[in-house]
Amino acid sequence: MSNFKPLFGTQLNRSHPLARGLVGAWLFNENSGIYLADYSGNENRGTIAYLAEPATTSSGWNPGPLGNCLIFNGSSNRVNLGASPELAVTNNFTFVITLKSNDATGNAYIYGRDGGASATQHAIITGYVDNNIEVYASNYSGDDPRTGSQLAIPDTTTFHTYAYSYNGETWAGYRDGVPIFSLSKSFSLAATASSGRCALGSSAASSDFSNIALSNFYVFDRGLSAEEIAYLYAFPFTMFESVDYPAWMREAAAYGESLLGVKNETGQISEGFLRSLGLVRLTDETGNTSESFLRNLGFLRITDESGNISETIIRNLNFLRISNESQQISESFLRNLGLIRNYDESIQISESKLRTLNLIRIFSELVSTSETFNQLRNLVRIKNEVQQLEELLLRIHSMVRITDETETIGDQLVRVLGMVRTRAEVQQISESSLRLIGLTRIFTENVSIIESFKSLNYLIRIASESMSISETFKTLKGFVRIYNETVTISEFLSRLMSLVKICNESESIPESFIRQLNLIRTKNESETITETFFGPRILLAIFNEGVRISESIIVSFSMIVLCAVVKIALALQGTFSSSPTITDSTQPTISPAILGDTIIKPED
Amino acid sequence: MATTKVVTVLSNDVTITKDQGAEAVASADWDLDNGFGGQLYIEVTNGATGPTVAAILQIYASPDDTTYYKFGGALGSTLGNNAVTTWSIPIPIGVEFIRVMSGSNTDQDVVVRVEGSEVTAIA
Repeated sequence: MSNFKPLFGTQLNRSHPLARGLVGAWLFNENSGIYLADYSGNENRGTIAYLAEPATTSSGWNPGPLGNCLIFNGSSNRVNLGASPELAVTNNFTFVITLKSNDATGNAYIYGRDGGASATQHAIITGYVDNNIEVYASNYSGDDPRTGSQLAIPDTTTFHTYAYSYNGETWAGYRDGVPIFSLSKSFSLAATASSGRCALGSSAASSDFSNIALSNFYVFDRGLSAEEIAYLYAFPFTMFESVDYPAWMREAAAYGESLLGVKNETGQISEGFLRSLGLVRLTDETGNTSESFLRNLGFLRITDESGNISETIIRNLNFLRISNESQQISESFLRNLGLIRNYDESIQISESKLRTLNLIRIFSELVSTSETFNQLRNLVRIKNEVQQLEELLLRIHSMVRITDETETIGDQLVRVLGMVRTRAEVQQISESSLRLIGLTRIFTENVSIIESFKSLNYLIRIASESMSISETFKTLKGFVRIYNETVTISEFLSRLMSLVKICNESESIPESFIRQLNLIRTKNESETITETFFGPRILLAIFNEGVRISESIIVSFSMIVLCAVVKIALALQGTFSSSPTITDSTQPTISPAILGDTIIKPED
Repeated sequence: MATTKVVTVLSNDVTITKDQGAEAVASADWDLDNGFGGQLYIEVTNGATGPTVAAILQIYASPDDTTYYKFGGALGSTLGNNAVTTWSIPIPIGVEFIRVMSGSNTDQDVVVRVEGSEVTAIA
């Protein structure tokens, strides 16, 4: 929020609470000429009498704390506000005036209004009691508002804001937003006719001139609360539209350039102006920004060429200093703050800093990874498309490279690493999976690997349907499982050792291979098991899904022999009929007790 | 940061003849369509004998160069002989057209100069 005076032409924000009842507002922001605009909208324009042009330090337009101010010489300068009928307040009103008193030892009027004759008037006066401001009224009804209305003038060097508020019951005075007195009174100022006179810097009748510097003056036709007074002191121009400084002015201010039209005569930017902009103050010729100032503003000062802000200040504020282009923030400073500087593109973060901070730098595409950096362990490099990791590096660090579509990882590398490449771009191999030695985890979308399966060592799963398993691969100890996407591995299957399950229906495994594994595969459900498959001590297992290896199927060598003997005996006896039929009753019944030792009974 | 500014002279030392009444003479219209606001400079110079009633200027702003609205209050020049009164007034970015009306000086002519500096680029 701006504390600086609004620019010339600013409008009153009539929806603002502090615009309610504002019947007169003179901001003294013209900085030139003999007119004072009334920003309340009532157009009670003031005319400056005997304006010193050019201004001197004792008269005319001068720099003020919040912008420009008008210095009254105490002898002839005054602002004639004319009749200003809206200012004819009686028993609900507030005066707020910001001024610097140059001499408060003689009778003088700061503001005066009468009904055309001094006999009926009210005024803000000074010097009737030395170094005090008070309200004077004549022809009032009820209590005398003057009694107890003195507000001491603290000094003659700085501006202060004085306020008087009366709501019909309580007569209160404030200085710099702080209540000084609050009195229960009942009075009404004399009705001042629309033909009355009104002035600043003198009485309405043009006498008793003040030696003051005026910054702004408000009249309300209602009694403001203490809270409103305090707020108005803190933000004296809050009821005006936000200052619409052109963008270039803000930019210029941010970069410390001079501001057109808001400079004072010596070309300096006032503190007040910078505060009002919400910008960081750039030091003027004489001023340094105190710590308390910075704290109060909650702003961080941008140092000028000669200025430094101590680390202590920054620590107190918990702010990070924004360095200008030539200024560097030391590492020690960063460490002290526990902050990390945002580097520009040209700045490199040293390895030592990385190690110190335990941070991993995320590389931009243009940054190459040095070998030294690569040797940093426990770091996972995030690879962009143009970067390549050498196989050697992969081996050294047991890191898995995530390839793009065009890259391949040789079988040799896969074997060395005990890993299988993940082909899909969207897939990633987690660190945890990388650490599973000997296991290659392939993530197809629909296939999950159960824990028991994961625990099987020496399994290589090949997810890609297009990949073939070479014989060399098949001779690897353990299992070779060929997946299609919809097949899951049951625990049952996982527990079976020395088995090969081929889920791809189109694939066949040569007998020789099956025999090596001591397994006989039934290729599909419709296929019968021929006796030719039944070799000595060879077991049959049907692994088609849903089909269990029943005891009736898993026959022992002894059972097969017995059946053969019966057939042979019947043939020798020549007792076959023309259409011999073996009924159920003739079928031999073989109890499990006769199964041989070589039978392997699959688990349920 | 550097800015590019274009200066336009709206009233080139125009004599405001005495006793014409208020807002008798208009400056040229300033089209601020191409920039980011700017700065208005006004200078009123009295003659060897200043006017009895000072010249008064009023700035107007317009969205369409047809209807003009008051921009701020009236500006009153000073009365003295050979007195020079100047203003430098920021014009916000939202203003499209600016015009300055001059007049009200009595008994003596005054000379008015109005210039505008528009910020057209920021680099």
